Amino acid sequence: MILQSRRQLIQQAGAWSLLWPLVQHGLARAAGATVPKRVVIIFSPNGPIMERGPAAGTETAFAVNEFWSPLARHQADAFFFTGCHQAGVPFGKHNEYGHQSAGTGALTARTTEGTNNSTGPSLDQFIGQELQKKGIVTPKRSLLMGLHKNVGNWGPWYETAGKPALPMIDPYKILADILPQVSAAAGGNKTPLVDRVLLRKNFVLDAVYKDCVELAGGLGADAKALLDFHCGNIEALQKSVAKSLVSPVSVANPGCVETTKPNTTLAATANFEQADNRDEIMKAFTDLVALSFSCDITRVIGVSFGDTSARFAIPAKYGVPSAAQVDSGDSGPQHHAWTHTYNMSPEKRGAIKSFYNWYAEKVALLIDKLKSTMDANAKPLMDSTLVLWTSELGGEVNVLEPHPNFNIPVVLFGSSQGAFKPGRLYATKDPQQKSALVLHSLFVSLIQHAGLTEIDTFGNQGTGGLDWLRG
Amino acid sequence: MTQDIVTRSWGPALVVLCLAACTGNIDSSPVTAGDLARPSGTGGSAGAGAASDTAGAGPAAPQSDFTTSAELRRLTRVEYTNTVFDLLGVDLSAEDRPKELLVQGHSEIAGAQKIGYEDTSQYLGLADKVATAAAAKIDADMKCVDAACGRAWTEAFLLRAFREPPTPTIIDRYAAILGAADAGGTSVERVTALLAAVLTSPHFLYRKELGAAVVSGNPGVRTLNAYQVASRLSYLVWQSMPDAQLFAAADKRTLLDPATRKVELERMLKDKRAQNGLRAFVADWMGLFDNNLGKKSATVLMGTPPDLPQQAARSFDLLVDDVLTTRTPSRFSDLLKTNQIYANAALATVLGVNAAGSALQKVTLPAGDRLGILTHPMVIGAHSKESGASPFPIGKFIYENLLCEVIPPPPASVPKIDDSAAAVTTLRQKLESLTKDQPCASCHVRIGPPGFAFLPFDPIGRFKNSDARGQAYDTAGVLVLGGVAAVPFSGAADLSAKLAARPEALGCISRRMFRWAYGRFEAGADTAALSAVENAAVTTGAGVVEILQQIVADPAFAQMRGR
Repeated sequence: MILQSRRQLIQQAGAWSLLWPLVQHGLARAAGATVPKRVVIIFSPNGPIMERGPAAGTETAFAVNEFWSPLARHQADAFFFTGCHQAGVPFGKHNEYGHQSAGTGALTARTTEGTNNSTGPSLDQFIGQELQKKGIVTPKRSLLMGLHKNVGNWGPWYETAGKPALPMIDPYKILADILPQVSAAAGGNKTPLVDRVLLRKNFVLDAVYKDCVELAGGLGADAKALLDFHCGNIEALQKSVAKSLVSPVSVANPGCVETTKPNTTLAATANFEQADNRDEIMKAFTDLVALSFSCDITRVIGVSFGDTSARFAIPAKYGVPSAAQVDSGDSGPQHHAWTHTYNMSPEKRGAIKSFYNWYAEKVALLIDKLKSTMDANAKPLMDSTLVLWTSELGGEVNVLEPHPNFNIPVVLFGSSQGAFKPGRLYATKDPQQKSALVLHSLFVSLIQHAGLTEIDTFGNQGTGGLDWLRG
Repeated sequence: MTQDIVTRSWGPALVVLCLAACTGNIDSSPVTAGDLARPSGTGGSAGAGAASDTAGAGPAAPQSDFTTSAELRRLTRVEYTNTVFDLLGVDLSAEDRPKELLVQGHSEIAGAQKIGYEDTSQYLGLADKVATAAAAKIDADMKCVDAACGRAWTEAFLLRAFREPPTPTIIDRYAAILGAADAGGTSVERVTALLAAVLTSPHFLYRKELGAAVVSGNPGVRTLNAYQVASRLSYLVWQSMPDAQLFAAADKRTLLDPATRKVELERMLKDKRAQNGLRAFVADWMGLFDNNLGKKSATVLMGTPPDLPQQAARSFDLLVDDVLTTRTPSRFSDLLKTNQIYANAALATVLGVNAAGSALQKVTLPAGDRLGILTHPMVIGAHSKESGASPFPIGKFIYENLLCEVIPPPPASVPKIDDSAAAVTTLRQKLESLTKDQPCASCHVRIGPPGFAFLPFDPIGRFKNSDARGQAYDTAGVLVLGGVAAVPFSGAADLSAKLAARPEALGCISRRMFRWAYGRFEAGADTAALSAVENAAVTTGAGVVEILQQIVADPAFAQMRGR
């Protein structure tokens, strides 16, 4: 562990507290400042089922499917993918694996057949971990926020093999979690107290890391592996804390403004699992994403609409009717229940369309926010951000299958500062095995965009990024 | 199935897949880690703070069978909370704490408990919070004016916090914090740093069961040191750190003697902290890893008081306390067949009993519909979906948690089932029709009947006699035990009473307690010890004292087996 002495940190932190307003002022207006590259990964569960979406047509002349219609306003800034097989499911073995491999494989790009658990990290966690290994350290390695915490089996988010990453559902707690760093980055209300707490945490982690390494040395293989993982995380956390102290933000953005309350009308005591609150929660999440990026709290954020097979519902005002009791035992106005109704009724189609319209509108609002929030170069955050939205399941018109691991709907927003040429449709006609590799390559492109250009594989298939993105 | 499915168009009602394989909903029902007991007996099964606690994670990957001793056992949320309270008097039960990863419905399987990045951050934040709350008083009590005094205090404190004597290197490391200017400008700040470091250390966060000498003639087995035995005993009975008497016994090494352990056990069971231990075990047994009542749909919760989850949790805890810590003899089987329950006006309408006022009071259940903790709203809520009936998750829970039979994961390949000709009118008929053929039938013939016994209960545990169409529920069935015995029953109350008398269920309780004690699943080498515990359970109606005595008196209780 490389640790700066407390004295060094105190000195540097003290210096920063004095110089910070000037530094921020200068950085904010520094033409040509190097802007961090960011990634947002959005997961929605259960798939469109009755549509192959998200768009149809030719590569450059295409129409957004009505399920995804709110995205039409961002069509020129997005890549739409259709026809791709899910990255983590054994090729040609959809359905048998239901949500299991689909959920665990959707963002890990690893086949998890038979284990019902991940054998590797999800894309968001991987990027955060690799950035830190490379020395690109932010106060938070990554953030994961979710609208649903029914984390049962087969969730898409994993810190490493067998270790799920759990989304935070409470925007108040998320803000409290990042507030010291936001305060430090925003400058104005930074207090000596915050510094002292961060300094103490840095100090504590130093002592604890030594304990950890010593203890690990005397263990058998299994326990040592368990503790090595823990020690590694102590070290990683210490780096992030030290980063907060020494250099609160690499590039100051106008959007980095200290706030003590998330952007929501919900009270801190609200039930953040209630479906009717989800418009407000997602509004708060949207602002938290922009705030975290503006203050450089993290470079990678995951947003979860729910785990696979989650009983996800949207607010009642959208009028989704209740599904009858289905084979899963589910019923009610829930996405999962509707996907299991085994019919082609207009009512079913209308229900699933309502879900997708809702998801798509929330995604579109997030893109709006990233477009309207400026970075240090007076450019929209969106210019330096890639936003990926995917699901574990896809769909097809006239197929009753409730677990189609094919035709996975994928939308990627952003140009990576002009490196990519969005506004295009990737409609693969490749056989499934090859089409799954497209998603592996797409994931690698996100990794490379984040600054990890030396990495050219992710998951257990494929190599290299997706050159097609460059046009 | 192959990829030709992509282009096929299936007729309505033709393709309905085996429930388990289709959705995994059996498994994804509340398989969550959660909040169980609170320190000092103030709440337990998902008490007030737990309703907003986040859910945990799904089962761990079968990367190991978890039958060898774990040298490190991460403190569970309950253990962590109780230990912090007993060490420093700070109550964290309302805080979010890192969650356990469940393995086959067990929260205590140590080999699966990885401490991740966010967990580490969470532990650090909690440690800082506790340290800040406790430091001023400790600094005032310490009354140290020199480094030697600080070192002596640190050594004594680390003995308690790390549950065994610290090495000189560790003492020096922590004692140095008290004199480190970098740790803070005041003595209180430096004490705060010391406490925070202690509470974040792996020596605090893990129970160490490393073993010392190899047992003669058995190279795979090593004896624990006496402090590790003290911790094993303390966390088994109290879910917390040893007290002064256990530390003293460890210091004298008398805990290596089985007779001494039995004496200590008797003393510990009389201590109020035993409530915490028993509540935590029962909550794990009943699969209460979170308080799910507050998560039910608005339709289901309509008309119920907003504090229903908290009231129900308190009612559950009081029932556990009443049956297991105030009655003599104290038997787990009585929990399954007690006709009493704690209710107040808020719970009365849910439970169908008469109770007025806000104070929870013991009332007798009307005969017939409801009996024992299986029919308590906390348990039904934990294994029911948000808005609908959940016979298969409940049936699976009964087989796995009450009978220790593992229901296998969904098969890799599931056939299409044609139910178009089925003349179904009720939910039970429909579900039975959908699962009557192999491979579904092999599991569903077992989990179906006990699950159907709970059809009259809604997701928060309200009983009703007939379904929405006015048809009476068919709750009769046969419990298939070990693939051999067949136990007929009619309704959830009758099923509870029958389970309370079955040796399979009594043995399962003791088997779960065995796993609870050792933090792992049993191995072949445990056969004799486990049989003795199961015999004690079967002959005593799963007596609390008898099961625990058998476990702690076994030589294996002072040993670990593994590397």
